[in-house]
Amino acid sequence: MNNKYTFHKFIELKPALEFMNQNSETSRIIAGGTDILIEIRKEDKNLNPINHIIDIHDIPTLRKIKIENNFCILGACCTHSEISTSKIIGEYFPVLKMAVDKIGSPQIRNVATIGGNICNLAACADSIAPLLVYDVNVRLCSTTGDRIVPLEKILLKPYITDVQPDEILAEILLPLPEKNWKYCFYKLGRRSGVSISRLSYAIMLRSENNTIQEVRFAFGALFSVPKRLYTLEKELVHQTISNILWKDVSRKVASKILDETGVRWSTSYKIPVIQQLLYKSLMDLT
Amino acid sequence: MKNDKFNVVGKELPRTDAYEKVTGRAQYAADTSFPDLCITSQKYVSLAHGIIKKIDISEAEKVTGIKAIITAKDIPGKQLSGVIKCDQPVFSFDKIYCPADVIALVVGTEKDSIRKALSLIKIETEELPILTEYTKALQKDVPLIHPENKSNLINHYPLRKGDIEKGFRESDLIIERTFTTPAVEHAYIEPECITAVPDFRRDVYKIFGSVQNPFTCRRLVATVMDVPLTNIHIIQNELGGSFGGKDDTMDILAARACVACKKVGKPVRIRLTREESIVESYKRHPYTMHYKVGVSHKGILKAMKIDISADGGAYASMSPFVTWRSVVQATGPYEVENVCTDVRAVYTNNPYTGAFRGFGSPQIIFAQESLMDEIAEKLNMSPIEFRRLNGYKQNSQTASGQILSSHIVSLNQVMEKAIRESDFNKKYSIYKSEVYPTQIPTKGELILSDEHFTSGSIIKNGIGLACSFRGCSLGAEGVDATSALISVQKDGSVYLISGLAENGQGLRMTFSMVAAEVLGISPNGIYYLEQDTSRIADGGPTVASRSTLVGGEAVKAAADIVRERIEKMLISEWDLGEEATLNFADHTIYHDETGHKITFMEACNKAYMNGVNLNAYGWFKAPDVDWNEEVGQGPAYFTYVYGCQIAEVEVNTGSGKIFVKTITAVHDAGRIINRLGALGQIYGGVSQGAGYGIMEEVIVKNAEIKNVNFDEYLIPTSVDIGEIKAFFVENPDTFGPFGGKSLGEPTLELTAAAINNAVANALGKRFYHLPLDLEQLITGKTLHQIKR
Repeated sequence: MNNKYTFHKFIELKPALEFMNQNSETSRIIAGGTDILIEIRKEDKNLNPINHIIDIHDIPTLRKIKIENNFCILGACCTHSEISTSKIIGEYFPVLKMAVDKIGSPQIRNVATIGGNICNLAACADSIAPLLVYDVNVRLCSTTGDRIVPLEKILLKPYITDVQPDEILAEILLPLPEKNWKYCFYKLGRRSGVSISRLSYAIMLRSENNTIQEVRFAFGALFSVPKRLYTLEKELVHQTISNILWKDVSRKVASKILDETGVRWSTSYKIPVIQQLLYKSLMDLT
Repeated sequence: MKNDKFNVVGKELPRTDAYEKVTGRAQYAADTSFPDLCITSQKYVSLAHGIIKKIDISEAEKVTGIKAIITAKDIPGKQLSGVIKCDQPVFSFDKIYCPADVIALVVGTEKDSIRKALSLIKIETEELPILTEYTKALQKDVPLIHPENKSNLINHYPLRKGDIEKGFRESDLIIERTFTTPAVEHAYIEPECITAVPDFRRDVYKIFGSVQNPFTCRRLVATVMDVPLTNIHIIQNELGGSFGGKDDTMDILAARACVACKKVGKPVRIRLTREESIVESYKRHPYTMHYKVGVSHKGILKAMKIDISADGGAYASMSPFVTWRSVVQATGPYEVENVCTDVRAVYTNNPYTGAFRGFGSPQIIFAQESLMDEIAEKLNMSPIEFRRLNGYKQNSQTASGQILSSHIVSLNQVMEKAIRESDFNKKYSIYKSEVYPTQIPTKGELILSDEHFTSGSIIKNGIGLACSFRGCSLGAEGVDATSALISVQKDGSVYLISGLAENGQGLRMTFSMVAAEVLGISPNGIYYLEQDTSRIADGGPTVASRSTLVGGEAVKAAADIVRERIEKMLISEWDLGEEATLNFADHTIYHDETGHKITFMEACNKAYMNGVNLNAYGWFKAPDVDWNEEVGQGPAYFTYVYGCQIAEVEVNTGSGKIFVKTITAVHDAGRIINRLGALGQIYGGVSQGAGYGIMEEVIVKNAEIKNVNFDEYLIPTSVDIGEIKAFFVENPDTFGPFGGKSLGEPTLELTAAAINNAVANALGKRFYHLPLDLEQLITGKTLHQIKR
C-alpha cells in the first residue's frame, strides 16, 4: 500500500496541467484530501488505476478570492475556512458563507476545499446548492485550453463530474448579485457538529409588493446530485406570495424529488420533512 | 459545598495525572515500544454461523517475513474463555458463532507481508442457518448457537413478590407497553492494543496494554497458557477510555498475543483498527421489555408484571450479571406490593453483548420511567406527585423484599433538588399547555395536505424527569473484596496502589485523596504505582461503580494502619498517654493540648530510624448480601444510591431533531471525595446517556455490524448537548471511605429516560423505542439504517 502512489506537489498550475496531460489515466488530484485520503485508507477500487497523487493545494493562483469585472473569482483550492472569513464572500454571497460554516468540523474546514467539494460530488455536498443559486460558472483548465461552463453542467451523477481526467477545476466565477435578494440556507444533520447533511437547500428570492420577481431554489442531499428547479422557478415569477402558494411550492418540490429518486428507505422521512421545512423557510423569508 | 472537617476530601483539586495527559506524555498502549516487536493482523471469515471444516495455513506460512501463523492448535492450555460461562473460543477451531470470530493471528514485522499472508489462509466452512432475532431465540426450530446447551437460553431470572393476580384485581387502571432499546458501542477514544513480552524466565510473560481488569485478564491468559497465575504479569498502560468495554475483548486479545509470543519468542502486539474494534468488541444489550402495570385510582402502584428479553449475542460474557441487575432494579425506585418479573438473556449470532457503564439499568429505567410518566398522565397527576406517592422512602421494601434501612433513602431529596434547580413544575405545565395537535403525520400520504403544514413555530419545548435507585458494587454477583498497598518513604513521600485499576475515570486521584486525607498530606505527595498484577492482591474487577466505595475503603484501611503506627510512635515519644489523639493536617502532625508538633516528613524519617513499619496492606470485604435465585428475593446489595435527572429539550417538529438544551443532574453518591472527578463523571455520563437517547445505534444486518467507524456510528459532539447542571446531595454512608459510594453509572442510566419524558411533554405524544432519532419522531419508527 505504501508504495502504490507517488506524491507530486505543484506550486504552479501549468506544470501540474502538463503532468496531468501526460498521466491523465493514472493520476488523481488531491487538495484538502478529506475525501481521497479516506478512499486510500479504504482501498477504494476506483483508485486501482491510480499511481500518482497530484497535490494542487498550495498553488497560489488557486487560493485567491477577488473581484474582477462584476465577478467574484473564487480559487478552487480555497478552504472552507478561508471562504468563511473572506469579506467579499460575507458581503456578496452570504448563502455560501452560511453553508461552508456548517461543513464538517473546524479541522475539516481548515483543509477541505470548495473545488474538492464540487469534484467529489457527493449528493450531500454542502457548498454546491449555494453556488447553484448564485448562477456560477466554473473554469476548467487543461494544456489544451480553458473552458468556462455553468456549474450545473458538470454535475453528472453522484461522485461523477464532467471534469475531464486531464483537467483541473481552477476557479469558480460568481456574478456579483444585486443586493435586494432575500435568502436562506438550511442544513439538517443528525448532529449539530461534524455532521453530514440529511438534506439542505438554498433559496434566493426577490419580490415587490408581495409579488415574486425572481426566485431560485437549489437542493442538496435530496436529488442524486445537488440541483436547481428552473421550471418551478419560472412558474413562480409574478405570482402573489401567500401561504397557499408556499404550501403548493413545497408539495411540488416533494413530488419532483419523489419522481426523480423513487421510493427509498429514507423517503417516508424525507418527503414529509422537506415540505414542512421548506414551507417554514419560505414563510419566514416572506 | 465547603466542608471544614476535611483538608482534602471534597475539594476541587486537579488530578495528579493531568499534566502528563494534557501534555501528551502519558503512555498509552500503542505508545510503548519494545525491541524486536512483532506486529500482527487477525483473520476473520465473513460468516455469521458455520462449521469450520479445514484451516489451511501452509501457503500463508511461506510468505517472506512471516514469523508465525497462530491458530487454536498453538494454544498450550484451555481453548475457551468466559468469566461466567466458558463458551468463547480464543481462536475459533470447530465453529463460527458470529462475524467477529478470529481464526488465526498472522505475526510478522511489516504490514505488506502480513496482509498477503492473511489472504492466503484458506478456511473451508459449512454455513449454518443464522439466528438474529433475539425475541425468537427460545422458539422451537430455531438454530441453536451452542447446541450442547440444548437451548439458546443463557440465563433466566424470575422474581416473585406478593400475588400478581390479586394486584391486578385490585387495580383500577392497567397499562401494558413494550419498549425496545438498541445495541450501542462504548466508543472509547483508544482502540484496543496489547503487547505480550517474553521474560528470560521460562514460561513467564509480561503483558502490557489497555486492559480494564488486569486480574481478570491474568486469569484467562494463565489458563490459556497453562501456567500458574504468578507467571503472567499484566501491566496496565494508561487507558484511553473503557466504560466497561475493555474487559472480555482485551482479555482474549491478551491471550492470543501471549500464545503468539510463546511461539515466536519475541514481543508480539495486537492493535485493532477502529473498524476491528467496533466489530470485535462487545456491545450494550438490546432489550425488549414488556411491562404490565396496575395502579389504583388514587395512584398507588399495585402490580407490575415485567417480561424482559436481552440479546446476549454469540457468547454469554457478562449477560448473567447484566440481566441480574435488571431483575433487581426493574420496578424502579417504587414500592410495589405485587411483582412478577422474568428476565432472560439469550444467544444469537449477533455481536456479543457485555458490560457497559450502566450494566442492565439504562434499558429498564427507560421503560419504567417512561411508564411512570404515562400512568401519572392517565391519572391526571403530575409526574412528581405520582413519584412522591410511590417512591422509596426510609424503610421501604424493594421488589426483592429488601428493607432499605441501613442507609439514607434520598430519592425525595434528589428529586426535590432537581425540581427546584430546573424550575420543573412551572415549565412542565407551560410546555404541556403549548402542545397542540401534532402536525407530524405519522401515517398516510407522503404529500402533505394543507392542514398538515405548521405556520407558527415548529420548535417545541419539553421538560421531563427520570429517577433511579442503584445497588452499589457487585451485590450478589460474587466475591466483593479488594486491597490497597501503601508504602511511606522516610522523606514522607508515599507509594500507593490498589487492587482496582485506573480506567481514566480518576481512580488514582480519588484514592490519593483518601490516603492524603488520612495522613494529613497533599495528594501531590503520593506517587501512584503502575498497575501490575504482581504488585498487589487480586482486588476483583474495576466495575459496578465500586472503586470509590470498595477500593477507597481498602486505601483508607491501609492509610489508617500507617497513621496509627506513626501516632503510637509519637505518643510514646511525647509521653502523652495512650488516650491521646494527634491531628494530621498540612504535612504536620500535632497534639493540640500540649503543642507538640512535627512535620510529616520528620515523623517518617523518625519512624524509619526506629524501625517502625510504614508499609501496610489495606483490605475491605463488602458486607454479605444474599439472593434466592428461585424467587428472586433477598438483600441484593448492601447499599444503594439515588439520582434524578431532568432534561429540557427543544424538538423541531418539522425535522424531528431533538436538541438537549439542559440536563439538571442531582445525585446522592454519599460523601463526594474527588469533587472535580465527580463532576467529570456527571458531564461524561450525561453526554453518553444523551447519545443513547437520541442518536446511537449499532446497525446489525444478518449478524454483521454495518456502522464500523465514527462517520456512521454517531455519538454526540460538544455542540450537541447544551448545559449540564450538576448537583450533589451528600448523605455519607456507613460504608465507603468517609461515606463516599457510587456515581459512575448512575450518571448515564437516567438521561435517555428523562429525554423521552421531555419529548412527550413537548409533543403530547409518547415514544417507546430508543434511539429517538429523526425518523422515529417523524415516522414513528426508527429505520435501523446507517445514520449519517
